Amino acid sequence: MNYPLREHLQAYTDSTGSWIRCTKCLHVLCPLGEDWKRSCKKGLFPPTKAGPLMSVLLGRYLLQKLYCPSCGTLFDSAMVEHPDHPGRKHPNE
Amino acid sequence: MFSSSIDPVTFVVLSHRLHQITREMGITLERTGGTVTTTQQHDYNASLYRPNGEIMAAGETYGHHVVCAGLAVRCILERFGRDEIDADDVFLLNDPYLAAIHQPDMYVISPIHFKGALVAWSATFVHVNDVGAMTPGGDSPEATEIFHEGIRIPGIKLIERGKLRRDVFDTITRMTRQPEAVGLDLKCEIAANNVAKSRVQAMYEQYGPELLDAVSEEMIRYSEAVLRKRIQEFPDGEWRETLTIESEEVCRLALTLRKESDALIFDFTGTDRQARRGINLPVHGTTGFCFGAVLYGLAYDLPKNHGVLRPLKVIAPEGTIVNVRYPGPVSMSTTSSGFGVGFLASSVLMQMLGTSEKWKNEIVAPNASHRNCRHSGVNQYGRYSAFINMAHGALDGSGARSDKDGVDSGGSYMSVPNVEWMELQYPLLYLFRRHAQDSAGGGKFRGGVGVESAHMLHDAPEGKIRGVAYGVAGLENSGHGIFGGYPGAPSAMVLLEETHAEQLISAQRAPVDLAAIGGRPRTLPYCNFELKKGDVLYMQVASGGGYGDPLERDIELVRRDVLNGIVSRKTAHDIYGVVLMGERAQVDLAATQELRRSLREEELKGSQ
Repeated sequence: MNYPLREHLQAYTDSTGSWIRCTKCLHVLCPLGEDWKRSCKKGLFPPTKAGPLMSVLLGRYLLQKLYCPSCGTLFDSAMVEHPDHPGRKHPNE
Repeated sequence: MFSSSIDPVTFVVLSHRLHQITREMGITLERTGGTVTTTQQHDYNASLYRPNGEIMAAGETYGHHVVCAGLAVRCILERFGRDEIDADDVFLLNDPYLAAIHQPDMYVISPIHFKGALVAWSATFVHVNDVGAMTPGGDSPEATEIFHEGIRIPGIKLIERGKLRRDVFDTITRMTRQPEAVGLDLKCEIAANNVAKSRVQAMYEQYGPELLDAVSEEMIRYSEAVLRKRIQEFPDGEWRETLTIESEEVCRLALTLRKESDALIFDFTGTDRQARRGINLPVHGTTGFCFGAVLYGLAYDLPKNHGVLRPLKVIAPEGTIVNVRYPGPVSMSTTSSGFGVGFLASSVLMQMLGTSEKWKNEIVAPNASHRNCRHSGVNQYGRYSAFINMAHGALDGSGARSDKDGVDSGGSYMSVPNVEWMELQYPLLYLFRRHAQDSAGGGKFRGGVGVESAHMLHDAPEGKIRGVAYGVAGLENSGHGIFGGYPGAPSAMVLLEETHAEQLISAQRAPVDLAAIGGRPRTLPYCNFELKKGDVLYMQVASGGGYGDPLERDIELVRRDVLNGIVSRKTAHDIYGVVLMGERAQVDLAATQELRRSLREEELKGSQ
């Protein structure tokens, strides 16, 4: 059964198995069930790339964009914690 | 799907009529309520239940309260037993450790009898102005246990055999700072329940108990059957989301949605332990927010009833933020962890919808909500009052869809009162209330724009009023992008102390520019604060997240946003890759195509 995963990302099945592929260039990222995000080209940018009002996130978050490694189509964007930020700490920990 | 022996036309007519009763209950609350929270902001719910407490017809607002009020009905049944419940009794319950979510949301519940038999229940909640908590209004950032958060009523007869229990009524209202306003709100709930009773009894008189009981049962069976079939259409799988709320501690909420056959399992394992402050959610609230997400995301066109709840299972480990252990505080739960759970549930549900060609057009970028504040103090007429500032939840920008932009200041369930009304009632002057430029999450379809506002004291006899800051504190408290779309700008609540606003007004200059207003900025976490003469409170609420790649956005839509002041020319250039020329913002098509190509090329060059 074929079904979408993102705007330009699809799970599909053929005679060789089930896969995840880019619908723009048909590049196969990985077998279905694996984490397709690991197969993407990953860009990390300052949060202000998403707009000037994101400046409060500087130093705390980064804008992560995931692209097709073959044709550069954008699959996903998300704010992720900055690796250099000390991070969260629950007082009970 | 419709398998009953009931005539389908009769079924539809009666089903709609039952839902119409919940609307009429809501209108009654709006017209007879004692506070702006009820009459203009519509912070209420009104629903009908079956004799055993199952949801018969859910009202239009607040799905989470629909579930919790049903639980409240079952608590009343358990506490009193059918033998002690008279046809003309009316009950009151607000205990978060039984069925409510926090004490200000007071459930008023009426049994509905026909010819001596219990045939249904009606239930309402309104958010009353005060509950005698340590902080006026109820949201208490300093509270560390439930006992600090006001009166807790486990179920009591407010009206017994048709007669208001004046001793009980006075005792409850006098434990609050605003007995008259709270009393009026309780009475508007009684009125709405009376309307429900009268309308339901009229239906039973007209159609008879056999048919109506069969219809309500069939409504639930029908909704459950259709929803289970819809769920079954998606591939089995798991979807995850997290959200961070920043209190004095940083708390993470985690949710995994597992879709197994025709059931949805919302598993909050991995969520942090409960917080010291009252951002913890009772477990029934967690279930209620998941129900709300499914109701509005996948079951919006079905009869809204218990059938939507049956395919859902919620796993919420005890002692965490989503299942508070007694006597943990909860007063700020609805607008923090509650909206957080609503966001998580919507997010994972939207990811699931994205796996279906049939359903992916229904996707809406989820919103993790906003900050808000409540004020209290003496107003220009010398009277004490506690009130929510402007119901900012009603001014959020909603998330983008797969085929259209989010709604600007589309809001949530609530409405927003007009500025003049607020200024008439309270010692405030609003400096501006407008859409915040460049706040919406970019995307092929952008998120809805949220609102920014600023207000200061005006004609306040004491020269100050109190404030309490609540909501979803942190930097993730706005619309999240989906499928490549960018997030909306984070909500903000900033107290500007000792500003130039009064001088600007004296000089007949409109204080609409933050730089000119000046002052010492203080970002407010969960806290109590004072708004003093000369201070300005600036608030920016959540904007919606975008859908899809911003570089794929229709150029003409970008141009229109620039002309409307929603997007700046710089953002049009930097985020959307659109080159505009001249005062009329004409598009340079060739330059735009080249810019878009080079922006993507530049991004990929630095990517791995």
